Amino acid sequence: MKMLIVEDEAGIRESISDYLRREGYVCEEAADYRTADEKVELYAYDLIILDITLPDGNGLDVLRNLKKRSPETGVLIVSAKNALDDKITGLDLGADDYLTKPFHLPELNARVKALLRRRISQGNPTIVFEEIEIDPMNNVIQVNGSPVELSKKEYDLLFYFIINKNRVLTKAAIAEHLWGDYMDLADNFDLVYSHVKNLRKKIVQGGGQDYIRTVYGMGYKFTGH
Amino acid sequence: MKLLEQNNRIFFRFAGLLLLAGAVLFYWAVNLIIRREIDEKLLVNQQRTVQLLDQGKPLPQFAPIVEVRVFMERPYRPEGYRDTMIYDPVEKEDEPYRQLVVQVEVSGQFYEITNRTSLVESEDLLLAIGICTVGLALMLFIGLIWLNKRSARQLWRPFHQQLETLRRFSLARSESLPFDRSGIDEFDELRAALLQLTDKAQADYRNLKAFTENASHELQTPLAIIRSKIESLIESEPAEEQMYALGAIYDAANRLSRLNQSLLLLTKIENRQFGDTEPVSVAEVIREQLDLLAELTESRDLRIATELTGNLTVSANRSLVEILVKNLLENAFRYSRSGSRIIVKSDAGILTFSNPGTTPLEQPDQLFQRFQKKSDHNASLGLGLAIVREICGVYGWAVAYEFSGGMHAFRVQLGG
Repeated sequence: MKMLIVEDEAGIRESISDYLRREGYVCEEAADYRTADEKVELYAYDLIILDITLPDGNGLDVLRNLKKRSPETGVLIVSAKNALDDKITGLDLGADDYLTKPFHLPELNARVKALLRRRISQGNPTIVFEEIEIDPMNNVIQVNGSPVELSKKEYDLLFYFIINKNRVLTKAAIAEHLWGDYMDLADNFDLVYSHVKNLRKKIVQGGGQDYIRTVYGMGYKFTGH
Repeated sequence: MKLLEQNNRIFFRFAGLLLLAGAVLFYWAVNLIIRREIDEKLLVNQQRTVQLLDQGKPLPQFAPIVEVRVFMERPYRPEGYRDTMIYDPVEKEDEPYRQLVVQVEVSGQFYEITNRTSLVESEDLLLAIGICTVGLALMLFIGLIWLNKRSARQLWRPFHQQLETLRRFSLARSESLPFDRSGIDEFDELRAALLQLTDKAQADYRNLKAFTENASHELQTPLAIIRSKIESLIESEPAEEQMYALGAIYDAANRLSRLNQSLLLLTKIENRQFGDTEPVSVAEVIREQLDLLAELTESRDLRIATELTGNLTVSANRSLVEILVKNLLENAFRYSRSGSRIIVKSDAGILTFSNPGTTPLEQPDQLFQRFQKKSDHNASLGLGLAIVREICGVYGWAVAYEFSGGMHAFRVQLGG
């Protein structure tokens, strides 16, 4: 799976590439509009992560050119918060998703995976991790073949864990993913902790193993044994 | 005290003194001249009397104007000018007279000649002068008051116009104040100084705002880099001690990032960078926000009761209304004990968010200031209510806090 990361800030661009490479993707980078446009012209990508504000042009123009040449490429737009116009224009131009800065890398990862899943593996959307099986179409979880009742947030949490398996998920990233703008409140009242606790209990009660490991002072890691 | 009054007071004090001194001087001068005239007249009369004596004509006797007394030898009595009082049988009172007494020797006989003239007429003259002076002063004063008032209204018009213009001054507006030229040097100087001052204040304010916005904007990227680098670093799961340190850095960076975003939002609202207004149903926004919050309220065993009546559609920017509702809900949520009930009510365009409490908040006027927060809620940034007030400011809504019946209540009066 080949990706192009268009982002003018070197620090952020490297972090994104590093993170996604570890997920097994091939990542190329472009720091400005000119490079991005060239690359889009010369090579084919499965997905482009596109920053709208570039020093020498508008990312939306890259999107326009891309959609003319290879409409099958997935596009995830990344832009500053509150730039609502960019979001609407971007989605109109054929972008698949939109992520506001600043974002957590696991969040980006989750969006990338969801996007690729929608675009490519349309036949079998079920996600399997060991004995746990998620059917995102119907929001159903099965452990060892038998369904487990989870609340909406617990389901989202498990999904987020499995998408980001073997990666450390900070409490802040989880709170933002689950509660969005109300993450501050969730953070204040330690809701991440209680949700993780409940999820663990339910999976274990359903006959599954406890794959959630606490990372001291940071968050959690969902990992196979 | 008005400037005109002050000016009049000074003028009248001075004019009064001047008139008084003038009257005294006038009186003194007129008196002197009259006296001299009288003395001269007495001297002439006396010489005529002596002539009569010399010619041996009968002695003139016309008391009290002319009296001649005859002595055998020189009488030793005072001679010269003197003021005296003489009883007037017609008027039946003492009247003032000026007299000249001389003694002459004619043909071996001594005569004492006394010439007198009445002073009543000259006293009347002085009285007339006094009355005229006072009358003149009164006329002068009244005339000047009237004239001053009239000319002041005219003269000070540019000043009052400038004052009125200045009252409408707003730092946030970008255009210069529309001061008119008056053609009067002093006021034109004032106008120039005011223009310079207000333009400078506006420019400074704009620069400050631009700085705040730029600073917040520029901070975003380094913060995002710090965050993402820490997220990359922790993948290698360093030793517990380093992980703990990284966790602290990460939390601080997150907090800083949130703070920065809130400040950026505040600046954007202040700069009116949320232009698009549309009809927004506040009730709908509240329901949406409550949906987002539902799971959180449940987990803290809070109940939120809504009583939404009346037309709650406002013309505003949807995102701003969402932020307003979110912040007020968050506020009620944050300061409620678990198990309590939050009430969101709307009636006649007044939106109320209440949550139970024990005592009224101290210094309620400072609640909406930036970075005002209760010290026991460190996770709160202290910007939520400041943002609420700023949003209300954009649309001319009033927001207030009150405590009644054991409830903290934040009221927003929608519609200016």
